[in-house]
Amino acid sequence: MYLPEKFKIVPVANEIDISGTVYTDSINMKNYHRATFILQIGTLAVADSHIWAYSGTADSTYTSTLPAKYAFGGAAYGSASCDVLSADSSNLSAGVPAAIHLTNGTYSDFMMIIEVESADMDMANQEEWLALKFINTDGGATGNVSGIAILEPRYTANRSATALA
Amino acid sequence: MNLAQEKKIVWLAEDIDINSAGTNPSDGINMSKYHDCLFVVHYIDVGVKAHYVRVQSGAAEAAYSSNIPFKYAMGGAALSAANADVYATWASTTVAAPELSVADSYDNYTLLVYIEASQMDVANQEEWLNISFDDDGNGATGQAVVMAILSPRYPSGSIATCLA
Repeated sequence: MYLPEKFKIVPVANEIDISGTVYTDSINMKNYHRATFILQIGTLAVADSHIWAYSGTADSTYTSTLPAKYAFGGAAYGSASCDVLSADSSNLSAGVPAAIHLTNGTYSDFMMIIEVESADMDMANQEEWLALKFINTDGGATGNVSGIAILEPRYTANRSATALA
Repeated sequence: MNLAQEKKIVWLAEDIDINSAGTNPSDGINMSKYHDCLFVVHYIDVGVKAHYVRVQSGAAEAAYSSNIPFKYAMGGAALSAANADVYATWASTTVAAPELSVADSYDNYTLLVYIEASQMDVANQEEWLNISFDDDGNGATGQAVVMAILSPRYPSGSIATCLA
Protein backbone atom coordinates (compact mmCIF):
# COMPACT_ATOMS: atom_id res chain seq x y z
CA MET A 1 0.00 0.00 0.00
CA TYR A 2 1.53 3.29 -1.07
CA LEU A 3 1.71 6.32 1.16
CA PRO A 4 -1.08 8.21 -0.70
CA GLU A 5 -3.38 5.24 0.01
CA LYS A 6 -2.68 5.43 3.75
CA PHE A 7 -2.73 9.21 3.95
CA LYS A 8 -4.45 11.97 2.01
CA ILE A 9 -2.02 14.31 0.25
CA VAL A 10 -3.55 17.72 -0.38
CA PRO A 11 -1.87 20.62 -2.20
CA VAL A 12 -2.79 23.77 -0.27
CA ALA A 13 -0.37 26.51 -1.28
CA ASN A 14 1.59 27.24 -4.39
CA GLU A 15 3.99 30.13 -3.85
CA ILE A 16 1.50 32.28 -1.97
CA ASP A 17 2.82 35.79 -1.40
CA ILE A 18 3.01 36.48 2.34
CA SER A 19 3.54 40.22 2.04
CA GLY A 20 -0.14 40.61 2.91
CA THR A 21 -2.69 38.55 4.82
CA VAL A 22 -3.12 35.29 2.95
CA TYR A 23 -4.49 31.81 3.60
CA THR A 24 -3.85 28.32 2.40
CA ASP A 25 -6.68 26.51 0.71
CA SER A 26 -9.25 25.25 3.26
CA ILE A 27 -9.51 21.55 4.05
CA ASN A 28 -12.64 19.77 5.25
CA MET A 29 -11.36 17.71 8.18
CA LYS A 30 -14.52 15.76 9.03
CA ASN A 31 -13.07 12.54 7.62
CA TYR A 32 -9.58 12.99 9.05
CA HIS A 33 -7.90 12.66 12.44
CA ARG A 34 -5.18 15.26 11.94
CA ALA A 35 -3.35 17.37 9.38
CA THR A 36 0.40 17.73 8.96
CA PHE A 37 1.30 20.75 6.86
CA ILE A 38 4.68 20.62 5.13
CA LEU A 39 5.63 24.15 4.16
CA GLN A 40 8.47 25.30 1.97
CA ILE A 41 9.34 28.80 3.07
CA GLY A 42 10.89 30.93 0.33
CA THR A 43 13.36 33.74 0.71
CA LEU A 44 12.14 36.04 3.51
CA ALA A 45 13.08 39.65 4.15
CA VAL A 46 12.33 42.88 5.98
CA ALA A 47 9.92 41.65 8.69
CA ASP A 48 8.42 38.54 10.23
CA SER A 49 5.21 36.92 9.10
CA HIS A 50 2.93 35.39 11.71
CA ILE A 51 1.15 32.07 11.24
CA TRP A 52 -2.16 30.95 12.71
CA ALA A 53 -4.24 27.82 12.27
CA TYR A 54 -7.96 28.52 11.90
CA SER A 55 -11.18 26.54 11.77
CA GLY A 56 -14.48 27.64 10.28
CA THR A 57 -17.87 26.31 9.29
CA ALA A 58 -17.25 26.68 5.55
CA ASP A 59 -14.52 26.89 2.96
CA SER A 60 -12.63 30.21 3.33
CA THR A 61 -14.20 30.89 6.74
CA TYR A 62 -11.72 31.61 9.54
CA THR A 63 -13.49 31.74 12.90
CA SER A 64 -11.46 30.08 15.67
CA THR A 65 -7.71 29.98 16.26
CA LEU A 66 -6.36 26.50 16.95
CA PRO A 67 -3.56 24.85 18.92
CA ALA A 68 -0.76 23.56 16.70
CA LYS A 69 2.59 21.86 17.04
CA TYR A 70 5.38 22.96 14.76
CA ALA A 71 9.03 22.33 13.91
CA PHE A 72 11.53 23.93 11.54
CA GLY A 73 14.19 22.23 9.46
CA GLY A 74 17.77 22.45 10.68
CA ALA A 75 19.23 24.49 7.83
CA ALA A 76 18.33 26.32 4.65
CA TYR A 77 17.36 24.37 1.57
CA GLY A 78 20.34 22.88 -0.29
CA SER A 79 22.30 22.08 2.88
CA ALA A 80 22.64 18.81 4.70
CA SER A 81 20.38 18.94 7.79
CA CYS A 82 17.72 21.01 6.04
CA ASP A 83 15.72 17.79 6.50
CA VAL A 84 16.53 17.35 10.22
CA LEU A 85 13.71 18.87 12.21
CA SER A 86 13.99 20.70 15.49
CA ALA A 87 12.10 19.37 18.50
CA ASP A 88 8.36 20.03 18.38
CA SER A 89 7.13 23.35 19.74
CA SER A 90 3.59 24.34 20.63
CA ASN A 91 1.83 27.58 19.76
CA LEU A 92 -0.02 27.56 23.08
CA SER A 93 0.70 30.39 25.45
CA ALA A 94 -1.03 30.07 28.83
CA GLY A 95 -3.31 27.54 27.19
CA VAL A 96 -4.37 29.88 24.39
CA PRO A 97 -3.20 29.66 20.75
CA ALA A 98 -0.66 32.33 19.85
CA ALA A 99 0.93 33.33 16.55
CA ILE A 100 3.89 31.32 15.30
CA HIS A 101 6.62 33.77 14.31
CA LEU A 102 8.19 33.12 10.94
CA THR A 103 11.38 35.00 11.75
CA ASN A 104 12.71 36.46 8.51
CA GLY A 105 16.30 36.69 9.70
CA THR A 106 16.38 33.01 10.64
CA TYR A 107 14.04 30.91 8.53
CA SER A 108 14.62 32.11 4.99
CA ASP A 109 14.49 29.06 2.66
CA PHE A 110 13.68 26.65 5.51
CA MET A 111 11.17 23.82 5.68
CA MET A 112 8.48 23.94 8.35
CA ILE A 113 6.04 21.35 9.68
CA ILE A 114 2.76 22.30 11.40
CA GLU A 115 0.47 19.66 12.86
CA VAL A 116 -3.17 20.27 13.86
CA GLU A 117 -5.46 17.74 15.55
CA SER A 118 -9.08 17.58 14.39
CA ALA A 119 -10.03 17.05 18.03
CA ASP A 120 -8.92 20.63 18.71
CA MET A 121 -11.32 22.05 16.12
CA ASP A 122 -14.68 23.39 17.27
CA MET A 123 -16.68 20.50 15.86
CA ALA A 124 -19.59 21.23 18.24
CA ASN A 125 -20.18 24.32 16.12
CA GLN A 126 -19.53 22.52 12.84
CA GLU A 127 -16.17 24.20 12.36
CA GLU A 128 -14.81 21.39 10.23
CA TRP A 129 -12.79 23.49 7.73
CA LEU A 130 -9.10 24.05 8.45
CA ALA A 131 -6.67 26.60 6.96
CA LEU A 132 -3.44 28.35 7.83
CA LYS A 133 -3.30 32.14 7.92
CA PHE A 134 -0.16 34.19 7.21
CA ILE A 135 -0.44 37.73 8.48
CA ASN A 136 1.99 40.58 8.03
CA THR A 137 1.50 41.90 11.57
CA ASP A 138 4.87 43.63 11.77
CA GLY A 139 4.54 45.26 8.34
CA GLY A 140 6.87 44.83 5.39
CA ALA A 141 7.28 41.04 5.37
CA THR A 142 8.22 39.65 1.97
CA GLY A 143 8.53 36.12 0.65
CA ASN A 144 6.37 33.23 -0.42
CA VAL A 145 5.27 29.83 0.81
CA SER A 146 4.37 26.56 -0.90
CA GLY A 147 2.96 23.57 0.88
CA ILE A 148 0.97 20.39 1.12
CA ALA A 149 -1.09 18.89 3.90
CA ILE A 150 -0.92 15.22 4.74
CA LEU A 151 -4.13 14.04 6.38
CA GLU A 152 -4.65 10.91 8.45
CA PRO A 153 -7.96 9.46 7.22
CA ARG A 154 -10.55 7.91 9.47
CA TYR A 155 -11.31 5.49 6.62
CA THR A 156 -8.52 4.76 4.18
CA ALA A 157 -9.13 4.14 0.48
CA ASN A 158 -7.00 3.72 -2.58
CA ARG A 159 -8.50 6.92 -4.04
CA SER A 160 -10.22 8.93 -1.33
CA ALA A 161 -12.69 11.71 -2.17
CA THR A 162 -11.60 15.32 -2.22
CA ALA A 163 -11.15 17.27 1.02
CA LEU A 164 -11.32 20.60 -0.83
CA ALA A 165 -14.11 22.79 -2.16
CA MET B 1 4.33 9.81 17.35
CA ASN B 2 3.57 12.37 14.69
CA LEU B 3 4.00 11.88 10.96
CA ALA B 4 7.42 13.55 10.81
CA GLN B 5 8.71 10.92 13.23
CA GLU B 6 7.27 8.01 11.23
CA LYS B 7 8.44 9.31 7.86
CA LYS B 8 11.42 11.30 6.69
CA ILE B 9 10.28 14.56 5.12
CA VAL B 10 12.76 16.22 2.81
CA TRP B 11 12.52 19.59 1.13
CA LEU B 12 14.21 18.66 -2.08
CA ALA B 13 13.79 21.42 -4.61
CA GLU B 14 12.67 25.01 -4.34
CA ASP B 15 11.46 26.30 -7.66
CA ILE B 16 13.43 24.24 -10.19
CA ASP B 17 13.34 26.24 -13.43
CA ILE B 18 12.43 23.70 -16.11
CA ASN B 19 13.69 26.03 -18.82
CA SER B 20 17.09 26.83 -17.33
CA ALA B 21 18.87 23.88 -18.96
CA GLY B 22 18.12 20.74 -20.93
CA THR B 23 18.18 18.67 -17.73
CA ASN B 24 17.29 20.03 -14.31
CA PRO B 25 17.89 17.55 -11.48
CA SER B 26 16.86 17.99 -7.87
CA ASP B 27 19.14 17.57 -4.89
CA GLY B 28 20.14 13.92 -4.38
CA ILE B 29 18.83 11.72 -1.55
CA ASN B 30 20.92 8.96 -0.01
CA MET B 31 18.44 6.06 0.10
CA SER B 32 20.66 3.62 2.01
CA LYS B 33 18.45 3.87 5.11
CA TYR B 34 15.04 4.06 3.41
CA HIS B 35 12.63 1.59 1.88
CA ASP B 36 10.89 3.88 -0.60
CA CYS B 37 10.44 7.46 -1.70
CA LEU B 38 7.35 9.43 -2.65
CA PHE B 39 8.08 12.66 -4.51
CA VAL B 40 5.32 15.27 -4.26
CA VAL B 41 5.70 17.77 -7.10
CA HIS B 42 3.89 21.11 -7.46
CA TYR B 43 3.96 22.64 -10.92
CA ILE B 44 3.96 26.41 -11.32
CA ASP B 45 3.54 28.36 -14.56
CA VAL B 46 4.24 25.40 -16.85
CA GLY B 47 3.64 26.20 -20.48
CA VAL B 48 4.70 26.26 -24.13
CA LYS B 49 5.78 22.61 -24.45
CA ALA B 50 5.73 19.31 -22.60
CA HIS B 51 8.68 18.44 -20.38
CA TYR B 52 10.01 15.11 -19.18
CA VAL B 53 10.30 13.72 -15.66
CA ARG B 54 13.15 11.30 -15.04
CA VAL B 55 14.21 9.49 -11.87
CA GLN B 56 17.85 8.53 -11.67
CA SER B 57 20.27 6.83 -9.32
CA GLY B 58 24.01 7.25 -8.95
CA ALA B 59 26.92 6.23 -6.76
CA ALA B 60 27.37 9.77 -5.43
CA GLU B 61 25.46 13.00 -4.95
CA ALA B 62 24.95 14.66 -8.36
CA ALA B 63 25.72 11.42 -10.22
CA TYR B 64 22.94 10.42 -12.61
CA SER B 65 23.97 7.01 -13.90
CA SER B 66 20.79 4.96 -14.26
CA ASN B 67 17.27 5.89 -15.29
CA ILE B 68 14.73 4.11 -13.09
CA PRO B 69 11.14 3.31 -14.12
CA PHE B 70 8.64 4.71 -11.61
CA LYS B 71 4.99 4.79 -10.66
CA TYR B 72 3.12 8.06 -10.93
CA ALA B 73 -0.27 9.67 -10.45
CA MET B 74 -1.39 13.17 -11.41
CA GLY B 75 -3.88 15.23 -9.39
CA GLY B 76 -7.39 15.62 -10.79
CA ALA B 77 -7.44 19.42 -11.02
CA ALA B 78 -5.33 22.50 -10.55
CA LEU B 79 -4.55 23.72 -7.04
CA SER B 80 -7.43 25.40 -5.18
CA ALA B 81 -10.06 23.41 -7.09
CA ALA B 82 -11.88 20.46 -5.58
CA ASN B 83 -10.25 17.25 -6.85
CA ALA B 84 -6.78 18.82 -6.83
CA ASP B 85 -6.20 16.18 -4.15
CA VAL B 86 -7.84 13.24 -5.96
CA TYR B 87 -5.17 11.47 -7.94
CA ALA B 88 -5.44 9.31 -11.04
CA THR B 89 -4.89 5.59 -10.64
CA TRP B 90 -1.23 4.65 -10.53
CA ALA B 91 0.53 4.22 -13.84
CA SER B 92 4.13 3.23 -14.55
CA THR B 93 6.92 4.17 -16.87
CA THR B 94 8.96 1.33 -18.31
CA VAL B 95 12.58 0.26 -18.65
CA ALA B 96 12.34 1.00 -22.39
CA ALA B 97 10.80 4.44 -21.79
CA PRO B 98 11.63 5.42 -18.20
CA GLU B 99 10.64 9.08 -18.59
CA LEU B 100 7.19 10.61 -18.13
CA SER B 101 6.06 13.30 -20.56
CA VAL B 102 4.07 16.00 -18.73
CA ALA B 103 1.94 18.19 -20.99
CA ASP B 104 2.02 21.97 -20.61
CA SER B 105 -1.68 21.85 -19.66
CA TYR B 106 -0.81 20.68 -16.12
CA ASP B 107 -0.09 24.14 -14.74
CA ASN B 108 -0.66 24.23 -10.96
CA TYR B 109 -1.24 20.47 -10.76
CA THR B 110 0.33 18.10 -8.23
CA LEU B 111 2.20 15.00 -9.41
CA LEU B 112 3.06 12.01 -7.23
CA VAL B 113 6.08 9.87 -8.17
CA TYR B 114 6.85 6.67 -6.27
CA ILE B 115 10.07 4.62 -6.21
CA GLU B 116 11.13 1.54 -4.24
CA ALA B 117 14.76 1.60 -3.09
CA SER B 118 14.99 -2.00 -4.28
CA GLN B 119 14.66 -0.74 -7.87
CA MET B 120 17.92 1.17 -7.57
CA ASP B 121 21.18 -0.38 -8.73
CA VAL B 122 22.41 -0.97 -5.21
CA ALA B 123 24.75 -3.75 -6.38
CA ASN B 124 26.78 -0.95 -7.97
CA GLN B 125 26.46 1.31 -4.93
CA GLU B 126 23.96 3.57 -6.67
CA GLU B 127 22.30 4.66 -3.48
CA TRP B 128 21.70 8.32 -4.41
CA LEU B 129 18.31 9.17 -5.89
CA ASN B 130 17.10 12.28 -7.65
CA ILE B 131 14.22 13.46 -9.80
CA SER B 132 14.85 15.62 -12.85
CA PHE B 133 12.60 17.96 -14.85
CA ASP B 134 13.99 18.11 -18.36
CA ASP B 135 12.86 20.21 -21.27
CA ASP B 136 15.31 18.37 -23.53
CA GLY B 137 15.77 21.58 -25.47
CA ASN B 138 12.11 21.78 -26.43
CA GLY B 139 11.43 25.16 -24.81
CA ALA B 140 9.18 24.00 -21.97
CA THR B 141 8.71 26.65 -19.29
CA GLY B 142 7.67 26.66 -15.64
CA GLN B 143 8.93 25.60 -12.24
CA ALA B 144 8.70 22.55 -10.04
CA VAL B 145 8.59 22.54 -6.25
CA VAL B 146 9.49 19.11 -4.86
CA MET B 147 9.12 17.43 -1.50
CA ALA B 148 10.13 13.85 -0.79
CA ILE B 149 8.62 11.59 1.86
CA LEU B 150 10.74 8.56 2.72
CA SER B 151 9.91 5.39 4.67
CA PRO B 152 12.83 4.87 7.09
CA ARG B 153 14.20 1.44 7.87
CA TYR B 154 14.71 2.73 11.42
CA PRO B 155 12.32 5.52 12.50
CA SER B 156 13.40 7.86 15.28
CA GLY B 157 12.45 11.13 16.89
CA SER B 158 14.99 13.04 14.82
CA ILE B 159 16.36 11.15 11.83
CA ALA B 160 19.80 12.12 10.51
CA THR B 161 20.08 13.93 7.20
CA CYS B 162 19.90 12.01 3.93
CA LEU B 163 21.35 14.91 1.93
CA ALA B 164 24.90 16.05 1.21
